[in-house]
Amino acid sequence: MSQQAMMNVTAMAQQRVDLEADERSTAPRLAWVKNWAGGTHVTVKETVADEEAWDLLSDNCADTDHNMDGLEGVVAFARVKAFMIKNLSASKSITLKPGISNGWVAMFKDNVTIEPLGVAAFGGNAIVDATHRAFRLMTPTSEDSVDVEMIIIGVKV
Amino acid sequence: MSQQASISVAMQASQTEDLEASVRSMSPRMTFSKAWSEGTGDDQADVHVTVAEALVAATPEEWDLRSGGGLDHDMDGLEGVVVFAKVKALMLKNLSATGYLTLAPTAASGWVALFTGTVIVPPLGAVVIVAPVGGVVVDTTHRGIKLTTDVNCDIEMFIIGVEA
Repeated sequence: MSQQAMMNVTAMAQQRVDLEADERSTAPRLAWVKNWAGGTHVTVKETVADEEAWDLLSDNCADTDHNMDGLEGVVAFARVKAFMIKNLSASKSITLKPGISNGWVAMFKDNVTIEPLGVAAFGGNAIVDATHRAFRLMTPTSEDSVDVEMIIIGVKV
Repeated sequence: MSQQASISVAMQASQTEDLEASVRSMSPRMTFSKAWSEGTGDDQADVHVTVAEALVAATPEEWDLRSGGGLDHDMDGLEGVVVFAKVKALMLKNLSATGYLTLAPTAASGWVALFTGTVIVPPLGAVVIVAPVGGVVVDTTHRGIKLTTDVNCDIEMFIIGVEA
Protein backbone atom coordinates (compact mmCIF):
# COMPACT_ATOMS: atom_id res chain seq x y z
CA MET A 1 0.00 0.00 0.00
CA SER A 2 1.23 3.51 -0.68
CA GLN A 3 -0.10 6.86 0.31
CA GLN A 4 0.69 10.53 -0.02
CA ALA A 5 -1.29 13.30 1.64
CA MET A 6 -1.28 17.06 2.02
CA MET A 7 -2.99 19.84 3.93
CA ASN A 8 -2.89 23.47 2.90
CA VAL A 9 -4.45 26.40 4.75
CA THR A 10 -4.10 29.95 3.52
CA ALA A 11 -5.68 33.08 4.94
CA MET A 12 -5.22 36.44 3.31
CA ALA A 13 -6.64 39.94 3.36
CA GLN A 14 -6.14 43.24 1.65
CA GLN A 15 -7.01 46.44 3.41
CA ARG A 16 -6.49 50.04 2.41
CA VAL A 17 -7.07 53.17 4.44
CA ASP A 18 -7.14 56.57 2.83
CA LEU A 19 -6.28 59.16 5.46
CA GLU A 20 -6.69 62.23 3.25
CA ALA A 21 -3.15 62.82 2.14
CA ASP A 22 -1.81 59.59 3.52
CA GLU A 23 -2.81 56.20 2.18
CA ARG A 24 -1.87 53.06 4.04
CA SER A 25 -2.43 49.50 2.99
CA THR A 26 -1.75 46.02 4.20
CA ALA A 27 -1.97 42.65 2.49
CA PRO A 28 -1.01 39.96 4.95
CA ARG A 29 -1.05 36.29 4.14
CA LEU A 30 -0.71 33.38 6.54
CA ALA A 31 -0.18 29.90 5.17
CA TRP A 32 0.31 26.44 6.62
CA VAL A 33 1.28 23.72 4.20
CA LYS A 34 2.20 20.16 5.02
CA ASN A 35 2.90 17.11 2.87
CA TRP A 36 3.10 13.61 4.22
CA ALA A 37 4.54 10.47 2.68
CA GLY A 38 3.02 7.22 3.84
CA GLY A 39 0.33 6.90 6.45
CA THR A 40 -3.34 6.41 5.86
CA HIS A 41 -6.55 8.38 5.62
CA VAL A 42 -10.27 8.06 6.16
CA THR A 43 -13.12 10.06 4.70
CA VAL A 44 -16.57 10.25 6.21
CA LYS A 45 -19.85 11.56 4.86
CA GLU A 46 -22.57 11.38 7.44
CA THR A 47 -25.91 12.82 8.39
CA VAL A 48 -25.51 13.36 12.10
CA ALA A 49 -28.74 13.00 14.04
CA ASP A 50 -28.63 14.24 17.60
CA GLU A 51 -25.23 12.83 18.60
CA GLU A 52 -22.90 10.37 16.92
CA ALA A 53 -19.46 9.22 17.99
CA TRP A 54 -16.49 7.72 16.16
CA ASP A 55 -13.73 5.44 17.45
CA LEU A 56 -10.32 6.37 16.01
CA LEU A 57 -9.05 2.91 16.98
CA SER A 58 -11.98 1.26 15.20
CA ASP A 59 -12.74 -1.30 17.83
CA ASN A 60 -16.29 -0.34 18.69
CA CYS A 61 -15.28 1.22 21.98
CA ALA A 62 -17.92 2.20 24.50
CA ASP A 63 -20.31 4.99 23.55
CA THR A 64 -19.29 5.07 19.89
CA ASP A 65 -21.39 4.47 16.80
CA HIS A 66 -18.81 4.33 14.03
CA ASN A 67 -15.42 2.88 13.28
CA MET A 68 -13.04 4.45 10.76
CA ASP A 69 -13.52 2.95 7.31
CA GLY A 70 -10.56 3.18 4.97
CA LEU A 71 -9.52 1.65 1.68
CA GLU A 72 -8.39 -1.60 3.28
CA GLY A 73 -11.22 -1.85 5.78
CA VAL A 74 -11.35 -0.41 9.24
CA VAL A 75 -8.44 1.82 10.25
CA ALA A 76 -6.95 2.00 13.73
CA PHE A 77 -5.13 5.30 14.04
CA ALA A 78 -2.03 5.56 16.21
CA ARG A 79 -1.60 9.23 15.34
CA VAL A 80 -3.69 11.85 13.64
CA LYS A 81 -1.76 14.30 11.49
CA ALA A 82 -4.65 16.28 10.08
CA PHE A 83 -8.36 16.47 10.70
CA MET A 84 -10.86 18.52 8.74
CA ILE A 85 -14.62 18.68 9.20
CA LYS A 86 -17.10 20.60 7.09
CA ASN A 87 -20.61 21.48 8.17
CA LEU A 88 -22.78 21.29 5.07
CA SER A 89 -25.90 22.72 6.72
CA ALA A 90 -26.84 26.27 5.84
CA SER A 91 -28.84 26.77 8.99
CA LYS A 92 -27.59 24.58 11.82
CA SER A 93 -24.29 24.48 13.66
CA ILE A 94 -22.64 21.30 14.85
CA THR A 95 -20.43 20.72 17.85
CA LEU A 96 -17.26 18.64 17.80
CA LYS A 97 -16.14 17.27 21.15
CA PRO A 98 -14.27 14.35 22.75
CA GLY A 99 -16.18 11.13 23.33
CA ILE A 100 -18.07 10.41 26.51
CA SER A 101 -15.79 7.47 27.26
CA ASN A 102 -12.12 7.37 26.24
CA GLY A 103 -12.36 10.86 24.78
CA TRP A 104 -9.70 11.90 22.28
CA VAL A 105 -8.42 15.18 23.71
CA ALA A 106 -5.21 15.65 21.74
CA MET A 107 -6.51 18.50 19.59
CA PHE A 108 -9.57 19.78 21.48
CA LYS A 109 -10.55 19.19 25.09
CA ASP A 110 -14.08 20.50 24.96
CA ASN A 111 -16.61 21.83 22.47
CA VAL A 112 -15.57 23.24 19.12
CA THR A 113 -18.50 24.83 17.33
CA ILE A 114 -18.67 24.63 13.56
CA GLU A 115 -21.13 27.19 12.31
CA PRO A 116 -23.43 26.68 9.28
CA LEU A 117 -21.38 26.10 6.12
CA GLY A 118 -18.26 26.42 8.24
CA VAL A 119 -15.18 24.35 8.69
CA ALA A 120 -12.70 23.40 11.36
CA ALA A 121 -9.31 21.96 10.50
CA PHE A 122 -6.46 20.82 12.71
CA GLY A 123 -2.93 19.99 11.63
CA GLY A 124 -0.18 18.51 13.74
CA ASN A 125 0.82 15.19 15.23
CA ALA A 126 -1.63 13.98 17.83
CA ILE A 127 -1.52 10.64 19.63
CA VAL A 128 -4.43 8.21 19.75
CA ASP A 129 -4.35 5.48 22.37
CA ALA A 130 -6.66 3.05 24.09
CA THR A 131 -7.96 5.59 26.56
CA HIS A 132 -7.97 8.61 24.21
CA ARG A 133 -9.72 7.52 21.03
CA ALA A 134 -13.31 8.74 20.67
CA PHE A 135 -14.78 11.96 19.36
CA ARG A 136 -18.36 12.93 18.71
CA LEU A 137 -20.52 15.37 16.85
CA MET A 138 -23.68 16.87 18.31
CA THR A 139 -26.49 18.73 16.65
CA PRO A 140 -28.10 21.77 18.36
CA THR A 141 -31.12 19.77 19.49
CA SER A 142 -31.94 16.08 19.51
CA GLU A 143 -34.45 16.67 16.72
CA ASP A 144 -31.89 18.11 14.30
CA SER A 145 -29.83 16.38 11.68
CA VAL A 146 -26.78 17.90 10.02
CA ASP A 147 -24.77 16.68 7.03
CA VAL A 148 -21.02 16.68 7.57
CA GLU A 149 -17.92 15.64 5.70
CA MET A 150 -14.66 14.70 7.40
CA ILE A 151 -11.22 13.69 6.29
CA ILE A 152 -8.64 12.37 8.71
CA ILE A 153 -5.02 11.77 7.74
CA GLY A 154 -2.77 9.86 10.08
CA VAL A 155 -0.65 6.85 10.86
CA LYS A 156 -2.03 3.39 11.54
CA VAL A 157 -1.30 1.37 14.61
CA MET B 1 -11.22 52.07 4.05
CA SER B 2 -11.60 49.00 1.91
CA GLN B 3 -10.98 45.38 2.64
CA GLN B 4 -11.19 42.02 0.97
CA ALA B 5 -10.36 38.78 2.74
CA SER B 6 -10.33 35.11 1.99
CA ILE B 7 -9.38 31.75 3.41
CA SER B 8 -8.89 28.37 1.83
CA VAL B 9 -8.40 24.97 3.36
CA ALA B 10 -7.56 21.86 1.36
CA MET B 11 -6.74 18.32 2.35
CA GLN B 12 -5.94 15.61 -0.11
CA ALA B 13 -4.72 12.05 0.07
CA SER B 14 -3.97 9.40 -2.49
CA GLN B 15 -3.71 5.80 -1.47
CA THR B 16 -3.09 2.68 -3.52
CA GLU B 17 -3.36 -0.89 -2.37
CA ASP B 18 -1.96 -3.79 -4.35
CA LEU B 19 -3.97 -6.92 -3.61
CA GLU B 20 -1.97 -9.34 -5.76
CA ALA B 21 -4.26 -9.56 -8.74
CA SER B 22 -6.08 -6.29 -8.22
CA VAL B 23 -5.06 -2.78 -7.42
CA ARG B 24 -7.43 -0.48 -5.58
CA SER B 25 -6.87 3.20 -5.13
CA MET B 26 -8.64 6.28 -3.83
CA SER B 27 -7.76 9.95 -3.99
CA PRO B 28 -10.19 11.98 -1.93
CA ARG B 29 -9.89 15.72 -1.75
CA MET B 30 -11.77 18.02 0.60
CA THR B 31 -11.61 21.73 0.06
CA PHE B 32 -13.10 24.80 1.62
CA SER B 33 -12.78 28.26 0.20
CA LYS B 34 -14.38 31.49 1.26
CA ALA B 35 -13.97 35.09 0.15
CA TRP B 36 -15.57 37.95 2.02
CA SER B 37 -16.43 41.22 0.34
CA GLU B 38 -16.24 44.38 2.39
CA GLY B 39 -19.16 44.94 4.70
CA THR B 40 -20.78 43.93 7.94
CA GLY B 41 -23.47 41.53 6.78
CA ASP B 42 -23.60 37.86 5.91
CA ASP B 43 -20.70 36.73 3.72
CA GLN B 44 -18.90 39.98 4.41
CA ALA B 45 -16.02 41.16 6.57
CA ASP B 46 -14.48 44.55 7.06
CA VAL B 47 -11.42 44.08 9.24
CA HIS B 48 -8.57 41.71 9.94
CA VAL B 49 -5.80 41.43 12.47
CA THR B 50 -2.52 39.57 12.27
CA VAL B 51 -0.47 38.66 15.31
CA ALA B 52 3.11 37.41 15.48
CA GLU B 53 4.25 36.86 19.02
CA ALA B 54 6.96 35.09 20.97
CA LEU B 55 5.36 33.33 23.92
CA VAL B 56 7.33 32.44 27.02
CA ALA B 57 6.97 28.98 28.50
CA ALA B 58 4.21 28.62 31.07
CA THR B 59 3.36 32.31 30.83
CA PRO B 60 -0.15 32.66 29.42
CA GLU B 61 -0.89 35.71 27.34
CA GLU B 62 -4.36 37.07 26.72
CA TRP B 63 -5.79 38.94 23.76
CA ASP B 64 -8.88 41.12 23.89
CA LEU B 65 -11.01 40.76 20.75
CA ARG B 66 -12.75 44.02 21.62
CA SER B 67 -9.54 45.77 22.70
CA GLY B 68 -9.29 48.13 25.64
CA GLY B 69 -10.31 45.62 28.28
CA GLY B 70 -7.00 45.55 30.08
CA LEU B 71 -5.75 42.18 28.85
CA ASP B 72 -2.15 41.69 27.79
CA HIS B 73 -2.85 42.54 24.15
CA ASP B 74 -5.36 44.54 22.17
CA MET B 75 -6.11 43.73 18.56
CA ASP B 76 -3.92 45.93 16.40
CA GLY B 77 -5.16 46.61 12.88
CA LEU B 78 -4.19 48.95 10.10
CA GLU B 79 -6.13 51.85 11.60
CA GLY B 80 -5.20 51.19 15.19
CA VAL B 81 -6.91 48.98 17.70
CA VAL B 82 -9.75 46.85 16.40
CA VAL B 83 -12.99 46.16 18.24
CA PHE B 84 -14.45 43.00 16.78
CA ALA B 85 -18.23 42.58 16.76
CA LYS B 86 -18.03 39.27 14.91
CA VAL B 87 -15.32 36.86 13.96
CA LYS B 88 -15.59 35.04 10.65
CA ALA B 89 -12.31 33.14 10.71
CA LEU B 90 -9.48 32.40 13.09
CA MET B 91 -6.23 30.73 12.11
CA LEU B 92 -3.41 29.95 14.53
CA LYS B 93 0.03 28.50 13.78
CA ASN B 94 2.47 27.03 16.24
CA LEU B 95 6.00 27.68 14.97
CA SER B 96 7.74 25.66 17.68
CA ALA B 97 9.18 22.30 16.74
CA THR B 98 8.79 21.00 20.29
CA GLY B 99 6.21 23.01 22.18
CA TYR B 100 2.49 22.44 22.52
CA LEU B 101 0.37 25.54 22.13
CA THR B 102 -3.06 25.85 23.68
CA LEU B 103 -5.85 28.25 22.79
CA ALA B 104 -8.70 28.78 25.23
CA PRO B 105 -11.21 31.38 26.39
CA THR B 106 -9.95 33.61 29.18
CA ALA B 107 -11.23 32.86 32.68
CA ALA B 108 -13.04 36.18 32.88
CA SER B 109 -15.16 37.33 29.94
CA GLY B 110 -13.91 34.46 27.85
CA TRP B 111 -14.83 34.27 24.19
CA VAL B 112 -16.59 30.90 23.96
CA ALA B 113 -18.31 31.22 20.63
CA LEU B 114 -16.04 28.83 18.73
CA PHE B 115 -14.49 26.77 21.53
CA THR B 116 -15.60 26.37 25.12
CA GLY B 117 -12.44 24.67 26.31
CA THR B 118 -8.86 24.19 25.24
CA VAL B 119 -7.82 23.73 21.64
CA ILE B 120 -4.36 22.19 21.30
CA VAL B 121 -1.96 22.99 18.48
CA PRO B 122 0.84 20.40 18.37
CA PRO B 123 4.42 21.36 17.44
CA LEU B 124 4.58 22.95 13.97
CA GLY B 125 0.82 22.50 13.74
CA ALA B 126 -2.07 24.77 12.93
CA VAL B 127 -5.77 25.17 13.58
CA VAL B 128 -8.36 27.05 11.59
CA ILE B 129 -12.02 27.56 12.39
CA VAL B 130 -14.28 29.41 9.97
CA ALA B 131 -17.79 30.73 10.51
CA PRO B 132 -18.21 31.99 6.96
CA VAL B 133 -21.70 33.43 6.74
CA GLY B 134 -22.88 35.30 9.80
CA GLY B 135 -19.78 34.87 11.91
CA VAL B 136 -19.77 34.48 15.67
CA VAL B 137 -20.44 37.27 18.10
CA VAL B 138 -17.91 39.06 20.27
CA ASP B 139 -19.40 41.18 23.03
CA THR B 140 -18.32 42.90 26.20
CA THR B 141 -18.68 39.78 28.31
CA HIS B 142 -17.32 37.33 25.72
CA ARG B 143 -14.11 38.82 24.38
CA GLY B 144 -10.91 37.23 25.70
CA ILE B 145 -8.72 34.45 24.32
CA LYS B 146 -5.66 33.00 26.00
CA LEU B 147 -2.59 31.33 24.54
CA THR B 148 -0.27 29.18 26.60
CA THR B 149 2.77 27.12 25.70
CA ASP B 150 5.00 24.67 27.52
CA VAL B 151 8.24 25.95 25.96
CA ASN B 152 9.25 29.32 24.53
CA CYS B 153 7.30 29.43 21.32
CA ASP B 154 6.64 31.71 18.35
CA ILE B 155 3.07 31.88 17.12
CA GLU B 156 1.19 33.51 14.28
CA MET B 157 -2.52 34.27 14.30
CA PHE B 158 -4.88 35.67 11.69
CA ILE B 159 -8.40 36.83 12.51
CA ILE B 160 -10.95 38.05 9.98
CA GLY B 161 -14.20 39.64 11.10
CA VAL B 162 -16.53 42.58 11.41
CA GLU B 163 -15.74 45.66 13.42
CA ALA B 164 -18.13 47.03 16.03
